[in-house]
Amino acid sequence: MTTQQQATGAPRTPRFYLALAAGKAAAAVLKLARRRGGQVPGTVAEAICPDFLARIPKPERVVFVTGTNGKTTTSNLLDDILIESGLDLVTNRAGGNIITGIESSLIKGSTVSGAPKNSVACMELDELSCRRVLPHMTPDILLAVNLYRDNFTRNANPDYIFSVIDASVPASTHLVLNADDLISCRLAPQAHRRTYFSIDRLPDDLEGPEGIVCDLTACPECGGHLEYDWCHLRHLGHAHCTSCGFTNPEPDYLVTHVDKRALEFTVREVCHARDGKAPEYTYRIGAYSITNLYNLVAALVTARELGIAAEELQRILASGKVNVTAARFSETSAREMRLVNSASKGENSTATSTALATICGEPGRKAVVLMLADYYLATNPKKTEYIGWYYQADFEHLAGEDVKQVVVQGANSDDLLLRLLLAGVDPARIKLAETETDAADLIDLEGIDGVFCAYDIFNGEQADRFRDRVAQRIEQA
Amino acid sequence: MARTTIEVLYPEFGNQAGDNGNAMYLRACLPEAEFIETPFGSAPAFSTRDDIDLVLLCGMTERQQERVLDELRPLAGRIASLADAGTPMLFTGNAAELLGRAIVRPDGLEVEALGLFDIVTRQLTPKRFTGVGLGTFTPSPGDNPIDIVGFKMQFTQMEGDNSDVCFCKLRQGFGLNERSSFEGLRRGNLIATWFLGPLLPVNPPFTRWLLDTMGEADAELAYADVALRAYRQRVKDFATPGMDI
Repeated sequence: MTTQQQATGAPRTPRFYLALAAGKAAAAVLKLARRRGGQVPGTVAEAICPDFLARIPKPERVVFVTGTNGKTTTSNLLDDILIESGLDLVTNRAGGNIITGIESSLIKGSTVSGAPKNSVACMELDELSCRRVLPHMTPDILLAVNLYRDNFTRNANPDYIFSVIDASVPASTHLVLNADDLISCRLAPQAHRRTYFSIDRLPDDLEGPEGIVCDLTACPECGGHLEYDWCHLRHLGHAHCTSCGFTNPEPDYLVTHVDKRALEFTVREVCHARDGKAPEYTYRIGAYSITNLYNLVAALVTARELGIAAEELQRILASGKVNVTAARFSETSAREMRLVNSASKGENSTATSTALATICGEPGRKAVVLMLADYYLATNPKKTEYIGWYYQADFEHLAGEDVKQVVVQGANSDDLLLRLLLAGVDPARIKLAETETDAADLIDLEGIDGVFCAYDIFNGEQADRFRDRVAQRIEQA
Repeated sequence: MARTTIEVLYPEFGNQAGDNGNAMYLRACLPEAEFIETPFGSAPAFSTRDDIDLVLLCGMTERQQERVLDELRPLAGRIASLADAGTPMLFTGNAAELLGRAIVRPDGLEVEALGLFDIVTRQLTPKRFTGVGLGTFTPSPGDNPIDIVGFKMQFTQMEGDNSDVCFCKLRQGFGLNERSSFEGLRRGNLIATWFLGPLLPVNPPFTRWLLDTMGEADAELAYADVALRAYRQRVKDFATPGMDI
């Protein structure tokens, strides 16, 4: 599909205009009712015109952000950067990252005749939804941040997700890929325009992949032995196959230096080298973690490939108006006791392991509450949550000396208790709670410096109530 | 008495969906046992040794499945003779598919499998078959049946008749395919089941049978009280008509 075809889309029929009007009406009703319902306008439009996405005109330029972990943060960052750079943007921040969410965003971002109000679309795209979206909406740039194992119930395994994205990417799309991820860097060889970003070896790198399970244990090309040179995070790093020599692609943008104290990092633009000398730019990072660095670098590189000047990006990040924050990590305190809530995607062992590693890496003695069972699913007597992922998440972090108490709350508590025991957590330190209030009341506030709650993103309200209750107890003590 | 030896085949592959929980639980139950982790590309210990007490192979990606088949195809006869000699073996998740006659890819290409059972696997990707299962496993005729609970998430359906060689008979969920209530495969002490994830910690009575069969009748089930409490609740929950993931 050419850019012109994309901009105009498939022919608009009376059915399309009816769907557009109904979608816009649904969006207006939601706005009046102050309800989010991000996917409703698209769902309504699709019900009337099943190939609505093919027919609605698209903005002149389309950017999608996909991948397993960090795509929401990266997409939001990129949106902010592009808006701050003066681009006229439609996003799906309030819509959702599946086809109906994208349609909803396009409906809201179009005139009554369907013409796009904005010149650029920058949207997060669910990996599985590539299959339904990309045939009708060709991105100029597709950023794939990484691929890991995810919710097995929905996404099966990384090989499967790889195959879905791989087959869906149009040959004309410019790919921005993570050279440190030997899974996603191989995506869609039919797309010849490829830009790779990488983070060079860092002082606190690991010698190999972290975690009790690894998503890349053999050469993805030949199945041979993969030897890791270093890892930054999980399997992201540098490795080579001892059989066929397969290794990471050469980066076009390389993070050469990180100053965690000064909250700065330097990117060498290898792709813009002249006379053997590549320009380097130092940027500010709002809150350092290796995850935040990957997210920010991915957004910056995509912005650079969209033509935003490096100096402009330096200015935007230095201003502090736009930057990466400690996403999904919210901290308050009560009488000097740290109260930290950390969210992770449910049934996603990688995200949960990263959240647990972050919590357990924090200084001081702590109580950790696990609120990982989907609260709403547990209220359905005919539904059960798949607990197999507990055996892929690194609960071993909780066996550390600094973790003085572990409280398990919610459904499947005995399953999680068994997993904690297998992880080596001292049984004397574990308690079970039925509700978030019970969990808050079970915390022994003596001898700890912080209370950390690791919760499924669907349990946000419960996590907040838990923290409020703990704070209340501390204030009343 | 010889030390109990368990061979975990290709653990770097067989860890999808939490299947690695099986070896994890066995290690906790048998702290003195020897665990041989055979990486992909190495000759399995069972191919030359007769003293392996359990061979364990768990679920993997479809791509890895074909690579593993290439490795194990020359050993199909050896696996069959070990099964017929009564060696305990456990294949979970899509590892069970290796034991059939063939795996047919979505594009129609047929991949030869190990041929221990007369079944054919059809990959119907991207269609996903999910559900929970509750059934009974009868170790030997006349023995008390053991309730088995499990989860299923797969792209495949199998063709064939496993009614005489099934692992368990289901009263909830689907078996070899959506029309079948016979789950898994059995040949002697070789058990194969599409129930995936941590089958052993989720089914402590079955793990008890497996330990006994391996010659570890004195070994205690790790954290038996917690595991049994979760198991009993799950047996009750999974009996609910219409229960699903």
